[in-house]
Amino acid sequence: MRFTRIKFSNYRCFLDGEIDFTPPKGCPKERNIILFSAENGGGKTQLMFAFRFALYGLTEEDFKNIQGQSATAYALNQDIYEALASGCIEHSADATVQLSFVYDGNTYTVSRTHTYHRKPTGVSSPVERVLLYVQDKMGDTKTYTDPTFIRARINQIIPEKTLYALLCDGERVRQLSSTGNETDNAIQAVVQRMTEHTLLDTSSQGVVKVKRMVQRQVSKNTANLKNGVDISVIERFDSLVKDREAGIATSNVRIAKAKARIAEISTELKDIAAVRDKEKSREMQIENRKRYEEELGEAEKKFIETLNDQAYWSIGDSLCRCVSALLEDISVRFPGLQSEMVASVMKGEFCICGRPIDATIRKILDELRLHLPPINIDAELSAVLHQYGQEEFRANRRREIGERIGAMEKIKARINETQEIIDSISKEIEASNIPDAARLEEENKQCNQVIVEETANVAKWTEEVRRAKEELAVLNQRLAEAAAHSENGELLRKKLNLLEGAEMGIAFIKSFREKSALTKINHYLAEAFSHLRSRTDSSRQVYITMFEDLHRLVVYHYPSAEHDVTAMSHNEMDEDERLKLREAIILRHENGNSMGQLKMTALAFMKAILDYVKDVAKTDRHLEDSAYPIVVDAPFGDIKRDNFDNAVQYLHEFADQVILLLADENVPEGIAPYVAKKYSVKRKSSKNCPYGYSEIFLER
Amino acid sequence: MQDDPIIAMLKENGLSDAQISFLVKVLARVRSERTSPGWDGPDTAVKSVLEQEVKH
Repeated sequence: MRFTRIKFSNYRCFLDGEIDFTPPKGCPKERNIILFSAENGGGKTQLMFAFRFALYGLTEEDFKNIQGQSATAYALNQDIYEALASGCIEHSADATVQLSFVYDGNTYTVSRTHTYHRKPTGVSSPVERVLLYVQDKMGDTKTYTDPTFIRARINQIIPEKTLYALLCDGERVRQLSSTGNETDNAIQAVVQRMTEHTLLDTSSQGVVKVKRMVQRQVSKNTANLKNGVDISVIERFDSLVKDREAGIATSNVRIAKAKARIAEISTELKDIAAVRDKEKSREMQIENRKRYEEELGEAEKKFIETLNDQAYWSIGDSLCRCVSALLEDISVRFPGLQSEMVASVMKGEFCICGRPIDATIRKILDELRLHLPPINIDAELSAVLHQYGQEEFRANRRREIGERIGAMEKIKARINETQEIIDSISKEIEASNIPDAARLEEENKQCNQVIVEETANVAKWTEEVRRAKEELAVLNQRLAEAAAHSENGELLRKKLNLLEGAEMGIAFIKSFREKSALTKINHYLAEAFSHLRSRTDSSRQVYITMFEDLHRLVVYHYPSAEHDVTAMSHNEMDEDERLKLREAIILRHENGNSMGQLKMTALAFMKAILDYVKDVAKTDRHLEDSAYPIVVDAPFGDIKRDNFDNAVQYLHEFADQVILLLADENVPEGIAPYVAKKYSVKRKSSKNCPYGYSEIFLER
Repeated sequence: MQDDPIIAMLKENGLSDAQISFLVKVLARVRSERTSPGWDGPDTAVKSVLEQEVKH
């Protein structure tokens, strides 16, 4: 199957547009990517869901789920809708998507239109019209208008749930990682399609109906015989078995969901415990910081004391220099003369030189006295110099200061580091979305209650089914024996034998094929995941559960699981036991996922489906051309760098046709060699379209 | 239905050759007729195959 063209008319943000998916002539086969590059809000998601709209339609709820609750819930372009509501457009307006694809040599074009009518109170709900044109290899075209037939025909080509699995966006990623119905639906859709589930179910219905007719005939023929069997008894038991088996299946699904929810709750509770641990760790770091701050306070205090002390020393240095210079000067000019000697001379009437001391000489002598050192200055200065002249002492004090400064710097660094740790923990705590622990505990209790109740139901009904089947076996045996004695007995007996064999055989085929399909899909899944993940991420692998009542994708620690599988397997195990053991071990080694890993898992799942479909088509003629295209929206965001490069290189191998939607700034270089065509999607607005619309340009 | 492993599996589960042959024919008939316009359900196909089988 391959998309060839899509056309829009007044659909959502696309007013009129047409996209041709066929590669240019002469394009090499490996260039199989049709790339759409758009700014954010440009219309990528709308484009992706246009495929769904065309093939299966979208409801108001679907539009809201796709785009969010604030989005418009109609197919019609918003400006046109508003114009219709206000009366600028009279009567009605149509929104149409027309999608063409080739399948099995035929060209199919499905055209889906939603018509909106103007009402006095606004705009009506849409009236849907769908048309299917099928052009065969000879060029003859047939047109179909019955929506039920069209839906069934499209479902045969690409079942609705398979389509959902092959349109990959963020929502798909989340669904494939969930433990709810969506993953199971996506997996079942592919498995049932590939194992011809519908064919087998339909055939089984036919077989059971005809068997019942033959049994009634036998019952009627043998009504008067002693060993006649009342067919209504068989029908009652059959009905009971069917009813109880359906109940058991429903209960098992509820049990599986409850178990899955308990596992999720356990993870969420661990998250809460982890956050509490972080809070404790943060408290401890705050205490550490307080202690370091006190240490720093003490160190600063001591440092200041030392510094003050040293301030004296530094003054002493310059004093020492001044005094030394002064001493030298006086020693040179008046060697040996001290101020006390001049004071003593001034007390007398005559100077040393013999002149009488008059006012002038007194003044000179007084001035001289002031500039002379005292008798004991040498001793004092010597002591001071001795003290101040202690270079080594001064050097030690300087070193001590340096050490004190160094110690204070270290404490400050520790304070800063501690603060960074506190900030980092605070950010982690803020980012954690902590659920309410009490609510989770209550939910956990309820889930356990469900498991207890439903397990009891399963046990009771299983016993009822066992007893009913025993009765049926007896009754059917009696019926077969009665058939032998009835009119056309041998013929009826033969018919019953063939029909019972067919009924059993269909059940065996279903189970066998489903198990084979899942085993193969798991093989392709592991291969795809190995290609996508980087070497640094090689400890993880992906697996789809086969024996749980809800299929789900599990990411697990590969080396530990394989080690346990090897240790616990033994030769006497049959294939079924081996598979069940492996699954139980894998579930024990299940890992949690980041968003990037979920995307990798989703991509690997898509690749696995596509590979499996191709594989089956090789051996099953009626599934020829079952290779599907894929449409992927922004696959590369959130994926870490190592895995990103692998994903880019590997994406074009996913399918024969890959339609890739990317935001402008996220187009990786590595994708260029595989791109056949590139379209840009640009948002524009005009007088007639104030809300804006998306135009699609083919880049040359 | 060309899958040998499936036929082997059916034999292992106790189905006779006649039962397997009938089943194969039923599936083939239903597969080919169900997409035809005017198809009225699988029981017609089953009855038709059954009558042919018991004649032989």
